[in-house]
Amino acid sequence: MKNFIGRLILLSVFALLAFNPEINAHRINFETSTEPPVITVKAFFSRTAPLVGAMVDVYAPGDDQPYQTGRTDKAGFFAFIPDRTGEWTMRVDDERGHVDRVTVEVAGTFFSGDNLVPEETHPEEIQERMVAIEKTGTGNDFQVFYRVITGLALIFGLTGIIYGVKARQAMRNNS
Amino acid sequence: MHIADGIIDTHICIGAHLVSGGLLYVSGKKMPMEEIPGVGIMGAALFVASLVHFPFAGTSIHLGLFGIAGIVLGKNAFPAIFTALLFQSLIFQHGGLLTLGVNALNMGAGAYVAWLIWRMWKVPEYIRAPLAGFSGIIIPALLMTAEFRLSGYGRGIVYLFAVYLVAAFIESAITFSAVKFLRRVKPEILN
Repeated sequence: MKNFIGRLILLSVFALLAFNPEINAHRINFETSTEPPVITVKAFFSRTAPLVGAMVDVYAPGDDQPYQTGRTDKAGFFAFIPDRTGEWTMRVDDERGHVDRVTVEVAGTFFSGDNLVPEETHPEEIQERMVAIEKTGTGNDFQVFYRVITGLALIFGLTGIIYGVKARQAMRNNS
Repeated sequence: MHIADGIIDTHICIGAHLVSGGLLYVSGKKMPMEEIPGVGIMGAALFVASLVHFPFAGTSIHLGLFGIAGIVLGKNAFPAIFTALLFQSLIFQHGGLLTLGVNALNMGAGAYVAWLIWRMWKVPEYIRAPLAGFSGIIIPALLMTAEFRLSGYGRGIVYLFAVYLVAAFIESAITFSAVKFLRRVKPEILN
């Protein structure tokens, strides 16, 4: 236990580094945009490191077979044309161990008119919809924060359980 | 560094799981109770460290800390690495669950070699520390490249090894700094 503080300092330094958005990008980040009739997704590690040539599987709402497959282009972009409303999922895999998913909600207004956003839709509404879409992306900083906290809690919890079991064994052996 | 599912032959993955399970059992049995909190904290540090990434040559390289894990934990590094990889796989889909055993053995081997290097007490610390950090990355990278080649991947995979060579140099500098820091604030952790 005497080494505990030293290790705790080490962990704190790396935790601080991990939550720094400038260098924390060992996850796939997404930017989605909907400009009827196309949904475009940009996948990137950081602003200067797009995910080039990553495998993308697009799943239509309720389907477990891909609707479309392909690869991101040189700038990390991938685009597809949805054919129905609902939650579309894209699974992005750079084939080097980085895999993530992003979901895009396609609303009924997406297919209005000639596949265009109706004129009566105000720019603020479009902006709101874009913000809503951004929030569904799993690469969201907020979600990553919670995922890190969850992981740390599970590791510490597991450590506590193992420590408890060992302590009980030691008590039994002593008595 | 983290191999995803579907790349390595399933038989190798199952074999690696069995070996990993055996190593975990032996480590768990032999590990003194007072070492468990340290293993947990190092596991947490390894879990977080892989989030610290640097964009490089069209891909991303990240910290591993397997050298430091080997220096600080010695033989007990394997359970810490396995735990970190398990939760990275479950929470971030970083590395596969089927390949968890392969990944843990690759990285555990890096930590073990780092520990062996660190124990060469006659070699000055300013050589041992960076060398341990370097081997903590380069050994898993070598094993990973060999496994990719055995699974039928072309010579292009050697490019990935070159990327990890750079990561190994970065890691050796970080390991050296961490050892210098620990030597100053908590020297008993290094013995």
